[in-house]
Amino acid sequence: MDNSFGDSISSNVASNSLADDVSDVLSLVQRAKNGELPAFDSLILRYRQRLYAVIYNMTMNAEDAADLTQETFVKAFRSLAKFREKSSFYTWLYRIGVNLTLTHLKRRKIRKFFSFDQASEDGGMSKDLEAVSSTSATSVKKALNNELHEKLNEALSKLSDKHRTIVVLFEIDGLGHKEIAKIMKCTEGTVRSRLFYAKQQLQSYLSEYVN
Amino acid sequence: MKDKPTLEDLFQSKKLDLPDENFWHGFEDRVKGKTMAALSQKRKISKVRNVGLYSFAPVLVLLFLGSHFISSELGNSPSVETASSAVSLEVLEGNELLQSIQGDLSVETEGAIQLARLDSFESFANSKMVMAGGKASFSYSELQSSGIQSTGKQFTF
Repeated sequence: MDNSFGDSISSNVASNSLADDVSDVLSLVQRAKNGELPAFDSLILRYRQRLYAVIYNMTMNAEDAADLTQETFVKAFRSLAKFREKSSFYTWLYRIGVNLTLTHLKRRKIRKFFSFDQASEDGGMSKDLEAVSSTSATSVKKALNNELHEKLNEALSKLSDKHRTIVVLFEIDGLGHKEIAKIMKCTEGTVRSRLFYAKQQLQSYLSEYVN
Repeated sequence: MKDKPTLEDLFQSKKLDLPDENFWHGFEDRVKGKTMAALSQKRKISKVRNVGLYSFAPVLVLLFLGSHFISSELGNSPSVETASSAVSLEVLEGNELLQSIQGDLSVETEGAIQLARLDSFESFANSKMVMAGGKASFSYSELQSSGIQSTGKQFTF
């Protein structure tokens, strides 16, 4: 595999600053608060892809990610009146999504613990990955070695839920330490130490496959 | 080792791990459906709440008035009983006193009140009554009696 792989795709990735057009977002939020559904649709359009990506990489399950992303938007719509605009809208929205996903993961762990059919769970994950791969239309992604991709997902799934969330928010979604600390309701120091530990763990899990 | 990607390269590739446009069409429809359902549910709940509030308000008022009436009834009845028993006691005491006066009884004991020995009508006037046990005493100011047949007497304790 070519080492310049990362460089070739990085140019295709859009800027990750969620703080873009703050006034625009706030006016959309205000309109949505007044019951204007098209304004809320615009907010969905703006954040759906990235929120889905975060949730998918936390759950490693395409169906769960779709359901949880929908649930996040519905919950956000229902509690829009509670949004006091003290934090930015995306922080608030991400917090809803991350909390819903962490709760879902806890429940899934409990279900898995009481389930005798462990093999079907493992089989389910690779099936989900196949589903996502088949829906992706990006040519660069097609060139990616599927085995490597799967290995990364496996390594991520070995991390604790909180460590995985921080890795996903930082490395895949591109949020800063401060923003992650707000979403996870912890200190920036905690975010940094968890991120450092998680990356060390990933490096050791993937030592055979990555530099 | 040159052909191996770095961890950061893998993370970059993960950013492209997204569904296509068809997926988002279905997604949007489902979110809209769920949002509308949430909205109508919200309206239903507020409607039910309002209806409940308006229908329960008179019931609550009636319940309050009823409970207030019952409590006032319960509160008044013992006082009426006490008053009537007090009146009857007073009447009884008055009659017995009269009998004791008329019958020229030596000593009459009624409850906690011990009457002084009565030698005559006149001696009863301006005499003293002592509580049984001798812990407290009281006197009356005036007793007007104009004969045996006379029943108009007033005691002031």
